[in-house]
Amino acid sequence: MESVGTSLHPSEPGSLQFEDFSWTPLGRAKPTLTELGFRVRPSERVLLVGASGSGKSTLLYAAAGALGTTLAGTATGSVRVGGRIGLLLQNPSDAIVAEHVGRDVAFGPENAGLGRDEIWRRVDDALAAVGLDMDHGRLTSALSGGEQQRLALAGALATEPDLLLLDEPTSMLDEVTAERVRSAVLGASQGRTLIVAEHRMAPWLAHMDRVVALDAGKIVFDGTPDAFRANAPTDELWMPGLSDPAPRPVPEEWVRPTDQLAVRADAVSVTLVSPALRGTQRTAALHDMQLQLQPSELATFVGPSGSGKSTVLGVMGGLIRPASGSVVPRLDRMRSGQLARVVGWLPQNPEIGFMTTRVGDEVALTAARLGVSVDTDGLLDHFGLAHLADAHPLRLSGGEQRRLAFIAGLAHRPAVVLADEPTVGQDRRTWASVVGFLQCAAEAGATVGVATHESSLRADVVHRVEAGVVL
Amino acid sequence: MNSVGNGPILRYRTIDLVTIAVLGVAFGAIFWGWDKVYEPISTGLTAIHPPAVGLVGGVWLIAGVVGGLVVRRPGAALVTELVAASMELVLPGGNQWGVSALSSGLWQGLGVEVVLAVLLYRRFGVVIAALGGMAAATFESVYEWGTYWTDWGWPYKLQYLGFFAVSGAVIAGVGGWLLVRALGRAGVLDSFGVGRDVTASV
Repeated sequence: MESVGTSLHPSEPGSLQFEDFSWTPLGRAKPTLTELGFRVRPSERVLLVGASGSGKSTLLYAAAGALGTTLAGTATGSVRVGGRIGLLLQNPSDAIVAEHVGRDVAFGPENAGLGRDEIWRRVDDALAAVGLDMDHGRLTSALSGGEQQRLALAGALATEPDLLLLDEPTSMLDEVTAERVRSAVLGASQGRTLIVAEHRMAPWLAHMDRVVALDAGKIVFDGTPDAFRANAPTDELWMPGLSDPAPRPVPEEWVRPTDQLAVRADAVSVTLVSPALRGTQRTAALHDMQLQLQPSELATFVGPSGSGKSTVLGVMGGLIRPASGSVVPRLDRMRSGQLARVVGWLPQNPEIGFMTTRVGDEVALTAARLGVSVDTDGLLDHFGLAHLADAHPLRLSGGEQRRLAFIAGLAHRPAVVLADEPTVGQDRRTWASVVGFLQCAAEAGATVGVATHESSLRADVVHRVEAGVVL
Repeated sequence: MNSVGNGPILRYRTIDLVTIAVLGVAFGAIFWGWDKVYEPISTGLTAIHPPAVGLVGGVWLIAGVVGGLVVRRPGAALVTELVAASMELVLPGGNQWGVSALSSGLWQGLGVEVVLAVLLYRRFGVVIAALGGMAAATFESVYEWGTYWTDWGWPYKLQYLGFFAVSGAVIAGVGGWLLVRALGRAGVLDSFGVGRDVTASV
């Protein structure tokens, strides 16, 4: 019996070779990667694409040697990797190990046994490369989702790996920040092997040597970007030049709230408090916000990474108490049961809300507690999760988890629908399902607020958030 | 098809070490809280029948049982219990027994370890867990005879051991086993043997 899933044998630094590799995760009857065979040469740049749940992250985990420990399951075949690996996970908060920004980036170089001066030189270079111009002493717990993503990337760059594996490195970044991070990655990867998994592939494509497309755990395309452009292997892919898909509507009875509710914020300022053993840090997150969210209206919040988009949603949903100013109605004074009835919320990190051990149960949980009936099967089918109804929520892919958290948070038809980056990690088909649900909710009378980095999401009102100010 | 096991039992993976540390710290915090609650309970039991204080001692043995059942490697039970005992001392105010809690941790962890070792780290069912709890209680009782209960006669000493063994089997053994199963079903022990034992495929 072979005891380790991914065997790491010495090979040429920066090379990667899959041979007849299959992987069946614990809890799944069928493999999620099937008989993969391909090799990547040193300093090759590979773009990895595929529908949500097609196995992109699993492939990166396999290359990083994390199958069998971080993820449990059964492997056949072999994976050979040469040299040092830098891995950016899909959920960047999973990679944060230290209390402060500087020490977090220093973790890799420290473990490589580098000298003190060299460590801090690399930390500064890496932070500058990803555009995080903040103090080393900034608490990692006070970072926004997009800032966490850049911090984790800085951590991977600081180790100067031979092989850089990036799982959706810009998924939570606005276009300007994403472009900056992209050039940092491309610059830092000169002379290194780079594998990037990304749904929104267009900006990457011109810089890559090769595209590998997965569908249901199998390689369905492996070739040059030009050949790939000419021949999209599956319909779900965000091929460059295609316009956004038409949102897929949902039945009105899935989204029509019993009551309608407007939420108004007057002169609201918010200070986020990050408690720590050595000195609590306070961050001014929002300043003097004037905002009204209306029934039957879909409002989006866009703006640079770290500008305060998630905080706006938190305040409007009664989850964050303002330091000054007022929010009407006083959602923050409600008991959690009452609040859940009127406010539905998709957090930016979807897994923090999971309460059950079965996808089907997760969908119905909030609704059942509130005495609201939901069409669990219909919802799972609309969001492409029907085949996973009996699976454990934490064993889903990143994109699948986000859709599950979306349904679980909104299935009970709340009057106020708040979604934080709902389209991250979605392919064209699942994007259309998510956006269709939000638009139908607004049409049916819900008050809808969406924080997003995507400018393509059609909204009734677009609020720009910059440096804690809602414009 | 090759099953991805956890490798040779003597080769600790990073996740094994981290899990032992996390479990040890968590149980250390629980023990520290239990130390405070224990005072009034033990005073009450002592007033009724002194050796009966052994009936609640099993709480302190649970770290070793859980560490051993989760990690399933030689030394895991012992080290988890030792880390927990160390945490008790480090937390604010420490506990009423001071450094001697470390000796207790050693004997308690060793008790579970001996049972798992006799079965060559291959069996981790509820009976084994209960036996481990009993062995931990027995080792600890003998240690306490010579340190805390020096003025007791043999009848009290043996009764204390009996009460403690029952407590160890029920609270630490069966309780610890149930806790490990529940953690496995919650999906947080996928990388361990117990995670595979309790997971059905869909």
